[in-house]
Amino acid sequence: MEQLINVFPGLLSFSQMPTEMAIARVFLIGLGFLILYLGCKDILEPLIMVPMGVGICMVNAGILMMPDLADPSKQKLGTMFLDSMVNTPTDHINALQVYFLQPIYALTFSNGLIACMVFLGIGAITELDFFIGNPKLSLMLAIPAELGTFLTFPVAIAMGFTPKESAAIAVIGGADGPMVLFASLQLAKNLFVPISIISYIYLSIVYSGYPYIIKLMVPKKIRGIPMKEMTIIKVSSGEKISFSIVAGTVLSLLFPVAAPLFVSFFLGVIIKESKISRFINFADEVILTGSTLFLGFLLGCLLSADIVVNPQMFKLIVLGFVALFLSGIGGLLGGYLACWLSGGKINPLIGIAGVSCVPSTAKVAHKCANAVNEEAFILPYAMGPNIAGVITTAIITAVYVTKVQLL
Amino acid sequence: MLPKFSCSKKGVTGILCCIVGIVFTKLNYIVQLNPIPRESLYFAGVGIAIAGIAVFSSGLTSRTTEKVLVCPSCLQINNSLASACKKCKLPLGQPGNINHPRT
Repeated sequence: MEQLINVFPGLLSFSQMPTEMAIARVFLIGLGFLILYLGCKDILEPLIMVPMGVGICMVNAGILMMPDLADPSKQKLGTMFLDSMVNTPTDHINALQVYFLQPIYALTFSNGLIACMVFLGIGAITELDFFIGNPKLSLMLAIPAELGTFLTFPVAIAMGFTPKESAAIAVIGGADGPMVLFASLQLAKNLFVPISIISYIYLSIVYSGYPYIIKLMVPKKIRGIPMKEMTIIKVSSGEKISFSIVAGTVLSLLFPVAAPLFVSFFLGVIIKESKISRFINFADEVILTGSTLFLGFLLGCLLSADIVVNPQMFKLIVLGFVALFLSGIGGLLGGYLACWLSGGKINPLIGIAGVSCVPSTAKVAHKCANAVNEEAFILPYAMGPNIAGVITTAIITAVYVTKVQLL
Repeated sequence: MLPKFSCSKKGVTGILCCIVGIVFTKLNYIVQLNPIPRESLYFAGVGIAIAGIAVFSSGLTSRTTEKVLVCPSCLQINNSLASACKKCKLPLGQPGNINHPRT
């Protein structure tokens, strides 16, 4: 039996690591299968969850004893996937020759490029009409929906995280994957992997979790408030390009540290509105699709057993839930305020769309309203705060990165 | 002509608000103040600049409304007379038919 195990280094590695790590590995292989299954079944967001599940499963199966790059005379447990802990230029050069995913990690993750590429693609598929048509209402609804982003920061500090780590965790409340990646890479590189994975898993669950918050907080009669059907304010392409240039310039002047995100998003919007079909197809089908695939796969490959056994992981799971839960509540409270100010003409469910998980939360709001009253077609109205949510999350992330860096 | 004039005025007001906001956020580098007023100036500046963006964007539209059909699946804005979405080709006017989000 021992000889048989020796033939398979992956199995042998179980006996070469601490028991809790071995148990965590088995758990993660199972978790990878589960995430893959739920992604394939459309229960979790398939675009991220399918490659992530594969990554989690394979990286935890493929552990073996290999030479330590820092001291080749020694051996350590590792994988042939990637090493996220390399620091010196020499280590980088060595790692690039060993780990097959290291080039992608080094060139797109460590500098935040992956978040910018996702943002560029999102910009290229975003309909700004919904936001520009009613910017004041959209922003008014998007700001309360950042409640989790504001309140999770002090809660995380109280739970023992540093201000920088707390800010990175609080950004989960904005429900915007690229922002979470950007903030954690800028503020808490040590927690980048667990924060990003928890954030993406929660963002997939939002679609099935928020309807319960809606049912708890909004009575059936109010959920069914119909809104003026499918009439939107016409916005020309030129106007959208003007808006993108002005908003991008102003936001970059305000927050130079987050300028790469702003320029990526608004470049995507300008590409879309310029109607250059080759660029649109490239941004949507190549950049967004490709970066989403590698984002999910690399995040999965980064989730190794040592991260799961880290005691901070449980706190992060709790804080991620708190952040998104509070943002949902804040969004609905904002929706109630808009409903009250409009004399009952605005369906308060569009408030939860201010949580910027584009377009999931807008669809959740629409679905819940539509289930009660078929005439409540609130999707066009929910998309305004949804897109405003992306902008406010970017602004709050930029404020955190700018201000908390100085603490 | 009147709405166009009104819109451009709003746009200019919005840009002015943005400039004032940016100046406010940078005032803490110019004026020596206690830490709390410096932070207040920064956040006031951010608020003014964001309000400026909102005013500017509301000034961009000519405020003409158009009846449209929004595809509940891919969110494409379609002509109100269209029977199928021009992007994903799914039939329009079926509000209950929402696919799981793909992006």
